[in-house]
Amino acid sequence: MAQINPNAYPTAYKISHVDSDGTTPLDIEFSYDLATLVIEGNISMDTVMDGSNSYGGFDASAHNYWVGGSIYGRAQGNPNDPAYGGVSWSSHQVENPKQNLRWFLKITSSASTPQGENPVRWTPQLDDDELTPTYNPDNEQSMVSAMTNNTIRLKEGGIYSLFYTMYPITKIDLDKIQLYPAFTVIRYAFTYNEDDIITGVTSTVSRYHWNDIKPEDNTAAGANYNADLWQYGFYDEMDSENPYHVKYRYVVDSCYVEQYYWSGKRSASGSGKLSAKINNTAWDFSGDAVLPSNTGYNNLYGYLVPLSEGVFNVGGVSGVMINPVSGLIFGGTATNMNKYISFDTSKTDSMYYRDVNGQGTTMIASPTTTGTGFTLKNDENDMATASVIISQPYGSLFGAAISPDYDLPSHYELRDNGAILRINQSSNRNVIGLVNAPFPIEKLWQSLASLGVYVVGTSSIPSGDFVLGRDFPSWLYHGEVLSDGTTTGVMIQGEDIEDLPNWDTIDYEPVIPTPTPPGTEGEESGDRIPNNERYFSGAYNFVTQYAMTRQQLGQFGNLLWSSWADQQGITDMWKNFKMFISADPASDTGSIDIASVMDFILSLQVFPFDLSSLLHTDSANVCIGTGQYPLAVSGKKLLTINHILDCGTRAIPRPYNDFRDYENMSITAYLPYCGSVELNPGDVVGRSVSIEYSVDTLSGSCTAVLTAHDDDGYLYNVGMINGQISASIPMTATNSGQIRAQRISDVASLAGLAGNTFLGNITQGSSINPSGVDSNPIGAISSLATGTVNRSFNSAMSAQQMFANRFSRGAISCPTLAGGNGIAAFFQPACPYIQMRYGLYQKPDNYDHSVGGVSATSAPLSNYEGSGFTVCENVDISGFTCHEEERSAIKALLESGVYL
Amino acid sequence: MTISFYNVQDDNRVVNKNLGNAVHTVSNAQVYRETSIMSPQFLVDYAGYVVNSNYVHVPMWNRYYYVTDVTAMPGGRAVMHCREDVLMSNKDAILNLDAYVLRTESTAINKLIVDSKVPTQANRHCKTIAYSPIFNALDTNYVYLLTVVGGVNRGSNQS
Repeated sequence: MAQINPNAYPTAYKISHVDSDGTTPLDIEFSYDLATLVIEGNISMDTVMDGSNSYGGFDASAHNYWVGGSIYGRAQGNPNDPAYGGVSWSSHQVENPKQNLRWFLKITSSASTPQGENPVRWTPQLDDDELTPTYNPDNEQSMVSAMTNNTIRLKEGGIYSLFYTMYPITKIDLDKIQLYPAFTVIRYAFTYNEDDIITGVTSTVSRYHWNDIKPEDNTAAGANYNADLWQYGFYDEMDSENPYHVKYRYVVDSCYVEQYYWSGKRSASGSGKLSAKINNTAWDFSGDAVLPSNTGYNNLYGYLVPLSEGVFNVGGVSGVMINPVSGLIFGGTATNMNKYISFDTSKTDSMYYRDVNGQGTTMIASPTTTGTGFTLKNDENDMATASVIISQPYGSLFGAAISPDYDLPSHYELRDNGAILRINQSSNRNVIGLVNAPFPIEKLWQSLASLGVYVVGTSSIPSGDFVLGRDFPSWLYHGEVLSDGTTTGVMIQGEDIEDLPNWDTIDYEPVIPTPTPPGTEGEESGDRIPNNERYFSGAYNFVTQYAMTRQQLGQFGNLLWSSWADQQGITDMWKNFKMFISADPASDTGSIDIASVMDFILSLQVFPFDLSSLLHTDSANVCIGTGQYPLAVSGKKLLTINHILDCGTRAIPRPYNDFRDYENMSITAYLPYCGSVELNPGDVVGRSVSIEYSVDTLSGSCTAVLTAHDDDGYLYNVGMINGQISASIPMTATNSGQIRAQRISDVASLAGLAGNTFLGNITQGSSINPSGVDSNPIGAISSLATGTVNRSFNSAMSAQQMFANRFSRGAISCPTLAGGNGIAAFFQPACPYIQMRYGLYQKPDNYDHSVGGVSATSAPLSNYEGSGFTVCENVDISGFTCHEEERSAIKALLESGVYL
Repeated sequence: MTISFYNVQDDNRVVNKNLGNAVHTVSNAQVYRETSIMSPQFLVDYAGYVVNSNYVHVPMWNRYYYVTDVTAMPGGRAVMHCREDVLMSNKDAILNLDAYVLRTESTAINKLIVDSKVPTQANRHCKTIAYSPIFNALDTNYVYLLTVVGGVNRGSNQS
C-alpha cells in the first residue's frame, strides 16, 4: 500500500511508479512533444474519454483545450462527425461532487487531431469523508491515454504513483519564447490491483497567474531563452495594512521580469496593478475589472496564493459540459459552490456576485449575463467582506475553462482571507472551479516554492517521443529544485535534469507525518499556543472587576462624593460594609464612613483597549462586599482574569530572495506597553508572524507573544516580552499600587482563612508578597481558587477582624488620572509594528561576470564549462605533467579566477 | 619547427580560447638563442602576419603562446618574443580537474551563501510592517477597570 509523504513536496513533472516490491520497470510513460503542447490543464477521472473513441474524447485539432476536474461528461457521439470534432457531450449527473476531486493528468496534443491509443483504464474514487481515493472496479472508467506523440500506458498489476504537475491555465505561447510554468497540484499513489486500496494524500495547490510575456525588442528571434519561476515572496508595496502581495520573479535570460505582483489594493480606477520589469524597464500594465483585449501588454490576471492560514476551502462547480468545438458551456451542476464572481465587461469596475442553483442540472450562467447580486466596490475591504470568499470544506473541484485564445482564462485571486475566482468574461468560455488545500499557509508556500518551469528554449522542437525519466533532450530546461522543495533560480538543462533530487521518485514508505512540537513528543498539537485556550476565573471568587466607560465612571464618582445622607442606597450599602468593620452589625447607627467605602476598592485602572470586546464579559451593576446591595452604576463585569488580544498576522517579506534577506538584516518588533524585541531573521523572514497580547486584568500586566509557523506548519514562538498595559488611577492619598497589592494580599489571605475555616484543607498561595506591587497575585489567587471556598464571609470572624485591623483611612482624593506608573507610556503610539532594517547593496550587472557569485560546489571543471568566471580554491593539480613553473602558474590562475 | 599564427581576442584568463583559423603557418621557424619553454623567442621570416599576430601554437611542444613582442632583425628576419598560455596549453587537464569552485558566474551560484564581496552601502533600508492598531480605544469605550473586593454572586445582571 503506497503512501505519500505530504511533506516531500513534489518537484513537479514527475511521473513515476513502483510495483509492490519496487522493482518493476517503468510502466507509465509520458511522452511530450513539448513543441506542440497546447493542452494545458488536467483531465479528471470523471471525464470519460473512452479509448474506443478514436478521438479520445477531445478534438484538439482546432483548439487548445484544457480540462479539469470540474468537467464531467462522456464522449459518446459520433467520433467521425467533424462538426463536433468527433465528440459530443451529454450531461452526466454528478452524484458525489467529491468524486470530482480527482487526479489530474496533463494531456498534451499536437497540432494534429489526436488519436486514441492504448487506452488507460483506471478508476479512482474518493471516499466521502476523506480525500482518499479508493479503487472501485465497479466504477471503472476509461480514459484515453494516448494521442499523437503522447502516450500513457498503465499496466495492470503495477502500483503507480502519480506525481502530478498541474500546468497553467494559460498557455504562454509567444513568438519567440514558450514558457510552460508548471505547478504541482496533486499527488496520489494508487494501485491498480483490485485488491489494493488507493491511498495517498492530496495536496491540492493551485494558482496561476501567468500572462503573456512578450520578449523585448532586443531579444533575438530564434534564440534560446531560459526561464525559471523561482522565488516568490510577499510584497508590501502598497499598503502595510494589506501586506499580502505576491511577488514573482522570472529570469528569462535577456527578458528579465523582476517583479510581477499583485498590488493587493485596487487603484482608484478600480483596477489592480500588475507590475513587471523587463530588462529593468518598468513594464506596468493594468486592468482588472475591465478585462483587456487579447493583445498587447494589458492583460492582467490574478494569482492564486492562499493567504489565509489553515484550511483553504472553497467550493466548486461540476458537471459542466463544454462543447469542444464551440467552447460554449452547457449543462452542469453547481456543487458546493453556489456563488461565484464574474465581471461584466460592459461596465467599468463591475464585478458581480452571483448565485448558481446548486441542485440538478443547471445552466451555468453565461458570463455575459448581468449578475443580479451586489456589485463590489473598488475597495479591498469591501471585496473582502462581501462574501466573495467562498468557503466550502472539501467540496473542492478544480476549475476548468476553455479559451481558444488561451490568454484570457479564469483565474484565482487571493485575498487576505482566501481566494476569489475570477472569470474572464471576454472569452465567454469559462467554467469556474476552486481548489482545496487543506494545509497551513506555510505548506502552501512550501509547495509553491517547489514550483519549477519547464522551458522550451526554441519554437522548433523536433517531434518525437520523449519519455521523462529516460529522455532528456537538450532543449528541455528545468528549474533546479532542492531536496527541501525550494527552487534556486538555477536552470538545469538536458540530461542534468536527471540529477535533480527526487525528480522522478517519490518516497513511498513514510507514513503521513504528524509533526511534533518540541517538548510534547507524541502528542497531537493544535496550531495555536495552548495557553491561549486557558482562562482563569477563580480569582473572581474574591474580587470583581467592572469595565466602565467614562460616563459610568463619572456616575460612580458621583455616588461616592455626592450627598450621602440623601441616598438611601448608601445607607443600605453601609449596612453591608459595616459587617467587615464592626463585630456587631446591630450597633450601627447609620453613620457614613467614606473611608471604608474606599477600602473595598482594590484598584482603578485604565486600559488602552475596549474591555467590553474581551471574550468573557457580562453586563452587571457594580457590587462590592457581599454584594447584597448593588450600586446604581453599571459596568461590564469581567468573568476571567486573563485575556488574549489578537493584533493580527503579517508576512515578513524577502527583499532580495538571497542571502541578503538574512545577512545584515535586523528585525525589531515594537510592542506597545512592552517594549521591543529583536527577532532572528532566520526565524521570521519569508514567514507570517502573528502578535498576540496576553493580558492579566487584575495586575494590568501583559505579555506580547510573537509566533510564526515552522516548516511543519506548527506555531512556534519567535519572541516574547512582558509589559504593563494598564495605568493605575490613584483614588486615595495612599499610593494606589500599595493599596492594590495590600488588597490582593488581603483577598488571598481571606480566601485562605475562609477555606481553612470551612473546608479545612485549602492550600494557600505561597507566592504572595503583600508589600510589593510586583507580587504575583494571580498565582496566589489562582492557587487558592483551586479549592472550593465557602464564600460566606460573614461567618469568618477572624477574617473580619483581619480586615478591620488592616484598614487605614487616609484622606480621599478625587479620582483623577495622574502621572505615575504606566501613564506616560500609555499615550505612546499604540500600534504594534515590525521594522525591518536591511542593508543596501551595490551589485552591478556585471558583478557575476567580474567577481562571480558564491558557489561552494565541487565537480570537474568541465561541468562548469560555459559558466564564465570561475574561482577555485586550493586547487590540487596532482597529475598535471607540465613543468613546475607551469603548474604554479595554472594553480595561481585557477585560484585567482579564470573563464571557463 | 612549425608554428601557427593566430589573432586571439579572448581574455588571457579564458581557459579554452577561441582561436579561429590560423592566420599563417610556417615550418621554418627557429628557436632564437637560448630560450625558456615558457618564454621562448622564435626567429622567423619577417612578414605582415608576424607583426599582426598575437598568439602562436607550437605543435611540437604542444603549447600555446602569447606574442609579447616582435623584434625586427636584419636580413628580413624577425624575433617573436612569446609567453606561454598555460591555460590553453593544459586545458584538457584543467577541465578534468575536480576542483572546489568557490565562485562562479552562472549556474552554480548558491544565492543563500553569504557573499562578502558584494559592496554594501553604509545606509540601510527601513521597512515598517504595521499590525492592527487595537490599542486605540477612547474613554467613551470600556477602558476603565474597577476592581473591588467581593461583589460576587449578588450582582444583578442587566442586559
